[in-house]
Amino acid sequence: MRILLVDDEQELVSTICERLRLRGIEAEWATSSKDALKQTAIKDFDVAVLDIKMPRIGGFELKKSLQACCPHMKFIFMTGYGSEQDFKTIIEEFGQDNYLFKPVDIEELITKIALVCA
Amino acid sequence: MTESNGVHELRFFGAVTASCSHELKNVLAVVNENAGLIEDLLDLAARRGRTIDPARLMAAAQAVKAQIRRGDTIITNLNRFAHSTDETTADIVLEKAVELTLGVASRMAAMRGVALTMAPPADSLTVKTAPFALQQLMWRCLDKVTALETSRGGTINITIEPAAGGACIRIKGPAGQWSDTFTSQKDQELLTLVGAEATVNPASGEMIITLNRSAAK
Repeated sequence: MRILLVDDEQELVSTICERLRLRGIEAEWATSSKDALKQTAIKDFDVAVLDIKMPRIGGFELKKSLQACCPHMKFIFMTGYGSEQDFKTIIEEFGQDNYLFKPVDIEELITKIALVCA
Repeated sequence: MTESNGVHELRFFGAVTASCSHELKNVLAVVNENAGLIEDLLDLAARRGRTIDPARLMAAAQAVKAQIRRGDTIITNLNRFAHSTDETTADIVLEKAVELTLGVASRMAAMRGVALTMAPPADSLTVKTAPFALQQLMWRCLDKVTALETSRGGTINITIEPAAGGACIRIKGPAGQWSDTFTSQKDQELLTLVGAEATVNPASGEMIITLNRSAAK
């Protein structure tokens, strides 16, 4: 299983990635939607973990682009605080299991990854 | 809620506090991951005898310290911003007030791919104005300019300089795209409260707020 983590907070996304690798999970990170799309063009990922609010292109919009090039890819969204509308969108479109609040609990993230891949 | 009972002010206050609290969540998230990483490395060393790289532990500790500094700046700005409502009018150091607006607006700009920089005046400039209204006016200016700049993802430069009878704040954005030129009722109301005049030069992409030294209403 290969995971792509996308968040504009480099220190955050690289450390989560390192912690997943310590647990034997193959993971890569990107700090922008552009970078994420570049990585998916050269590697296959099973799950993308996306921050909802990122400069220019946020997680929801990125999901559409990633889905177009990788139809099999599953998605989990991360958020600090979102608007009511953000939560509505996540729950209506992606279900209760597909989002995480920051700070992220690494074991919860791994459980969510397993759930979306099941 | 209607305009007359302060909806603009509440929305502005809400936008600032939402932005700062969101940024603080990121600070906590980074601290959480670095603490978690230290825990993971110690756990692997204890259970599996894995060697701990001192440089990695040091980097994680330094990352935590850097985030504490970042969090402290955000909280300090938020506190100063909250206190801008303390007095209706006050003598303020203009560059400090603008620096505060930039601090609380930096995330809003960053979300648009825009950076904000400020060049302070050679000598400190004090004006008598409405502190909270000035914050709101500056936020609205930056909102207008960063919305235009977002397609280029550039830098907005703000300079503060003396002007006849007061001081002026120059906000340099992209040239030739201006449509909103302070004609709304709210902009006019804020300009009156602050004791300022606004001019926009679409050709140079410059927005100029000129404050009279003691004209605040």
